[in-house]
Amino acid sequence: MADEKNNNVNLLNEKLKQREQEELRSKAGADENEPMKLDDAARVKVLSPTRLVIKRFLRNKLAIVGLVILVSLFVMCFLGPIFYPYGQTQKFQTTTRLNRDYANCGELTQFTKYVMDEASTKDVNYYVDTFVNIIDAKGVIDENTRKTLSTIRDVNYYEEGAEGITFASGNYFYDMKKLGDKLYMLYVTGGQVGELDLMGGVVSGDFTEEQAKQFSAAVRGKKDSVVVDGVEYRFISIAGSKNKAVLAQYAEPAEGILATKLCFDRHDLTVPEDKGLEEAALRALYADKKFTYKGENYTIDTEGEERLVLNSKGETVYGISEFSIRDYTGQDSLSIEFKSIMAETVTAMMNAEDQEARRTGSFTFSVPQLDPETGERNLDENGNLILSEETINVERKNTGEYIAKYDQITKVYDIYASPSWSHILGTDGDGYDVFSRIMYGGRISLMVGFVVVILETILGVIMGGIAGFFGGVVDTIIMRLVDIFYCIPTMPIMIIIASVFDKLKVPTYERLLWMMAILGILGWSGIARLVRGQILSLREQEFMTAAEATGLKTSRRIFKHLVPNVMPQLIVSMTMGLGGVILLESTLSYLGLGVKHPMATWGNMINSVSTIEAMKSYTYIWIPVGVLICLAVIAFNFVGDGLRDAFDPKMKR
Amino acid sequence: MMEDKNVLQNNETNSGEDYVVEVENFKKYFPIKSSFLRLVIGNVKAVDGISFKIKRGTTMGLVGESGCGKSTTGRTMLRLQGAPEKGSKVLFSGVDIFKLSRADLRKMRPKVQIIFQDPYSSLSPRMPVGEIIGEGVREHNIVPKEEYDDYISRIMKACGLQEYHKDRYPHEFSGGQRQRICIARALALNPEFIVCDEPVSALDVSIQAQIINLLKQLQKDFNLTYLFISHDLSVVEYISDTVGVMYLGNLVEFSETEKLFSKPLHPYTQALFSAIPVPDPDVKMERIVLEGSIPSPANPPKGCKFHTRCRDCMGICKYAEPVYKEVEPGHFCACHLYNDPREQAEAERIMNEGMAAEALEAEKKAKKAARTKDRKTDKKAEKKNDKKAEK
Repeated sequence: MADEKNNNVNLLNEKLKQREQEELRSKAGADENEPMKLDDAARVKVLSPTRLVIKRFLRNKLAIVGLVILVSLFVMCFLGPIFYPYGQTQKFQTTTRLNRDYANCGELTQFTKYVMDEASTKDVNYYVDTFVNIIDAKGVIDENTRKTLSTIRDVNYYEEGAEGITFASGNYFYDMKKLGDKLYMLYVTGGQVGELDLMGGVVSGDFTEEQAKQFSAAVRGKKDSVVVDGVEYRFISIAGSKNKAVLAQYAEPAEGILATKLCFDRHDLTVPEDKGLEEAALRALYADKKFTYKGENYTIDTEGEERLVLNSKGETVYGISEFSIRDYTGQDSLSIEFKSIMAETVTAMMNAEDQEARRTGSFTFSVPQLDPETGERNLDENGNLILSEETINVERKNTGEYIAKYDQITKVYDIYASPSWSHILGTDGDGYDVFSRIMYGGRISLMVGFVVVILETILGVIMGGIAGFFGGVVDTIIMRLVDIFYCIPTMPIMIIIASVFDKLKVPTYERLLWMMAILGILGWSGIARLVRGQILSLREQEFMTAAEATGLKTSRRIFKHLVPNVMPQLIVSMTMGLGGVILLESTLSYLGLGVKHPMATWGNMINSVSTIEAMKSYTYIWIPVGVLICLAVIAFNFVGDGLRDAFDPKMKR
Repeated sequence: MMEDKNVLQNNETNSGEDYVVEVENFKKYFPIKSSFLRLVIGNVKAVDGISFKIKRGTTMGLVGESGCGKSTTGRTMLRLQGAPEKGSKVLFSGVDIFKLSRADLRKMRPKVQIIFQDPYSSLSPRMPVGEIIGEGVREHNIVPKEEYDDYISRIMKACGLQEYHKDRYPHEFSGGQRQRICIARALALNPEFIVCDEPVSALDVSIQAQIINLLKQLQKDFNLTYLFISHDLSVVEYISDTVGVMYLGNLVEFSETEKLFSKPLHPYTQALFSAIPVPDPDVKMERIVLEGSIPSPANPPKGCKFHTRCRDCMGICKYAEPVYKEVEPGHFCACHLYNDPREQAEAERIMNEGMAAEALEAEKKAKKAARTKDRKTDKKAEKKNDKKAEK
């Protein structure tokens, strides 16, 4: 059969070939006599269908305008950011003169502590302030304080007085002594040697029977302490235990914590702080005013207004003052000169009679000059700071602090900057570059448009195609589904979904993907209806019967005969849809339902100037964005119209 | 495949003649569905049992007035319009087209082609002509790939089209050229048999002649077989070797063209032929004017379907269906005028039975009517009596 078929084919083909050659022969004979003819074949230049579509498209001026706009938009949005120096979330700063805190001054309220015996003072370290207050209050303990300390910290007081306080806590007992003005020392005077049962007798500890008897007697006598064999023992009750107590032996006082409210000011800021030196100086301050630290002899000079720590060469290392003068960050970076003049001013203010003078004061001082452009410190060619005279105002705060202020050059975020060479379209309320955000936003807006429309079209063509080609029950089911999707209101659904996303804290990028998917799913019904209608009418046409008679496959019949005939309508609806989706995305972002703030889209850029006042003042932010949205939508419509005409072969050539 | 060949050979030897198409008892009904529940409540009998054979390399004309089922026959026998009723048989070169599987049918398609009446809607508007013609060629691998382009060009030339027409779209052509494209599309598949479904009725007369001549030329060159459906008798007379006349889904007469046109037997054929205009004002023609319009194929008349409009209508025509038989050698007809005695007797018997049944029915009806009438009068009388009693 196959052979036969081939033979038949060859027969037809052979016959045709034969005829062709005969014609050629007869023509060759006739040609010499016949005059030249205007041949249609030579006259009409034949273009391939694709080139024909392109040619027809290019004839449409509006379409070209649209295409040019679109291409430039795409180049701007997708290639622009590569060459543009700024990112979409890059904050810009500028400098301005601002009357800002430079230094503050106050008496220290917290103790500076030098801990020598960490193990035994661990429990009471945080209560040193309280004990100092007790001493300063001349040994009178507030009943509440006593109760609190007794119950929480298990502190037992033995002696209280203006010069010192003796107490026990935990397994140790302590002596707190005042060494001098604002300088206190906590001594550890003994530790646990055993444990007592308050009902009588020693529970643990290495004691003779005789000694144990004496302890028991003391306990029964409700004494706190007892002297046995010339050694003093004390009983320290244990928190939470009623019938047990610690038996502690009194020992020679050992230094535990040195606490002071005095402040050390370094004269040479390049030398690092040395806690050991400070500690040694403090110990010597109210003693013989001489000490040796790390092999060097130091003396303390208390003659002048300020107490100074001098080394063996007579150079001043430290000044000891009651004020703490620090810069506004709390660091000790101020020069001793500034500190002394500041301290002077503050002292003068404290002693002033006039109310106004008590509150404010001022002095002039040379401070480092700041560059008005960058806000950095200016340096001369040798790398030294350039100084400039500034009037520095001192203000007293209600907290008792004194603040030094002067007009400084400060870095701030560059918000709502007008268009300039560095920012072509200025900056927005967050200090972001508007032009950069327009480009990044365009990426999102265009991408959303394309993805959503392609999704819509794929769904619509598949569903509409199935409904139209197969008809019957399938058609009915799909069309009812389309009706349902037509009824779903996009905006309320998006509002609900957006709030759900907010609640679930979906990341911005994921949110964007979801938004595209949802818009696509909500939007396919129109295209499905269009495709179905077209296919319903097309499949009854005679050329479809002819295609069937030719024996074409079903898929070829759908994709080569039906789909090309739906193409023009599809392209128009796609391009129109593209504009619509870009607008919808902008609307959603404008309402805060779409892409969230730090990520730019055209919609939320307009949203950032949504108040009337902002709109009036910052036109350079929203006008370019609005114009771009309009341009994109119009250009898509132009291109869509152009494509429809180009695809229509009935158009004149 | 070998079996097919055997069948074909057997068929040939049996009949002794090379028939390309054999149609037997071919029926096509279109169901009428109720608006409620879509139940079938009746059938439009578009084609109601026709049989004919076409020899290889000849043309059979199929004529008849509008709505008599010519086009339905042409399309349904190519399996383009659903399945026919059971018992129908259509053989192409001995192969029953309605018994083929889908895949086999697709292989069979190129052998039997169709040319449609309307050359405007039968060409896909978004395909260049070369693609329209070559689509099937590529699909069925009619020629090797490297010869494909030349082959299409040759086909187009054979159909009177220029090679450069390939890249043009159908809307750029006139009606005649489009019909040539349709013919080229059919021819390109190297068919044995082409159904021409009124291929020239949408064209003006000069173009008609061109197309008819083209068809004839192609038939001569490539030994094609046509089923030429038309209502234009002069065209049919010109092109056909044999002609079948259809009336209301039935073939009423079939013969060679010359015999039929010189001596039509069936009254319907006679009436039809008398309507052919003669381009001579002096000739007086006896015109047979058919009264009434064609009856509904959903409810065809009993007996001979033509009896309602037949001028030779007899009593038996109303009850007995005429037999389709060979009245003269090679001349088939279905009419009671040409009954032999046995058939006449059979027909009369049927007529008598029918009349008797009718009479019985009429009697029953009359009785029923009388009964209801009686009952009504009784009731009236009763009522009257009641009223009187009340008074």
